[in-house]
Amino acid sequence: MGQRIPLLEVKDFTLQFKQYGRGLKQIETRVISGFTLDVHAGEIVAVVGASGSGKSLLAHAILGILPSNAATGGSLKFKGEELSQSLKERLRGKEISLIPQSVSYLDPLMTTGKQIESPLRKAANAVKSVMNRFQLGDDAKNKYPFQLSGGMARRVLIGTALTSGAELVIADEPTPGLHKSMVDETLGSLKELAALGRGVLMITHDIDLAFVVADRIAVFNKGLTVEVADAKAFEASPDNVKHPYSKALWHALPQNGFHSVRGKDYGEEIDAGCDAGEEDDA
Amino acid sequence: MKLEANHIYFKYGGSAEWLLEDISLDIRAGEVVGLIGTSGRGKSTLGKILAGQIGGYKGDVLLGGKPVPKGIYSPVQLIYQHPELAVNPRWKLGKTLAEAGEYDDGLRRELGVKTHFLDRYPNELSGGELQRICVMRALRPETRFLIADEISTMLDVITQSQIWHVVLDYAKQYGIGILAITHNEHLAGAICTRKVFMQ
Repeated sequence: MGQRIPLLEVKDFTLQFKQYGRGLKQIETRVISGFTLDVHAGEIVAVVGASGSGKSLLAHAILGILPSNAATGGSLKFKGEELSQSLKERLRGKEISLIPQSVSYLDPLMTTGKQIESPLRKAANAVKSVMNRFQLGDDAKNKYPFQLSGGMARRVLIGTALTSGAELVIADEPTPGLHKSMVDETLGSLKELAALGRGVLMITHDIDLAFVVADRIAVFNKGLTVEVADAKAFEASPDNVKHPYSKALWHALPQNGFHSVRGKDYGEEIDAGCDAGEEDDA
Repeated sequence: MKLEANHIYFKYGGSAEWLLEDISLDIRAGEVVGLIGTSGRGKSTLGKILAGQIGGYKGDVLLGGKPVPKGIYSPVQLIYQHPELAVNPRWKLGKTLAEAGEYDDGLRRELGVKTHFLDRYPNELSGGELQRICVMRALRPETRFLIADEISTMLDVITQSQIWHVVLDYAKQYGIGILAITHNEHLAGAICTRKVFMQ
């Protein structure tokens, strides 16, 4: 990716939670270890990982919205500058925007027009153009979230991220439970954001989605990036990825043979690394 | 043995229009029927009706020509998309599993359910781990039909493949018929013997 400074640079990032066990005994649970990734302007990078692998926590760490018992290590940089808590608070909603997992993140007491307008410093007629782009008619402008369909609510969330003018958009499972036409529309919007020069970090468990929309795919499991691969090459053949876990993902797709070993904990081969040799996953 | 829905009409309270209007469907033992359609067409509702989880519909649901028996472990089992909503949050998972009776340890291993999972509460396991337990609960010799409502949509593809292979083998062994509700055409292509489209 040349010498340009990436929009987002994550290096050896770790995250652990402190919890109390019985009495005053403290337990530390590490959920992310050795996470490394960068996102450049105009690029969509997908973080693909199993449910419960801790990938949403990465988004929360970037935005500075982790719970107070979380401790982090390693480095998170935005345009070359280390992201401190105060910088995160200054940037979020302005330079860094989140398309959250759930439509319940919409303010229930705010109309669609106001919601889309909210991150704008100068509203002007930008709201109208965004609403047009996302096929939200004039009547939608004065509606409250409970009056919107699930698909419309999702378009409002994406529209809000767009008007914010944020350079980095983080989309956390942007298409859960949506039908194919809505999925295509949502992915189209993300592509549009990238075409406008924004960087997009998409977090998903669905590798098919990543194939459709991403430039690069970070395969994530057991709290670390297993490997970062070119999306098109990965989709085309498992020979284009190195790690046995990435290859196993490819082979498990219904369109690629639907192979897996029953009862096997694939997380266990994560530590084995790329040199562990080929795993027979038929 | 056949599970059949005959001329089902259903609407939710307060709604003027039928969600399901004159829907008929049958699943034979050993079949894997894919139920495919856009969201909001009532696929999940039909699944719940078949499994006896909601009433208030017009029409008949018959198992081997008779009404589905109630008050016992149901021969028609439903597995949901969201396992966290299908287990008692205040019970350790061992208790949840024991409710269905004793389990087969070989099946536990095949499904990758570790014994220490059973000593945990639902919020201490991931969605994939919980779904493995929900599948285990529904796979019993008494089960005649399985309604699988988007059971792998929220899971990574490896877990999806692992779970489905165990389900399909078990169904084959015991002659269980499956209704697989899904929007993933590739998945339907890989698992189904027949497809039904709801428009």
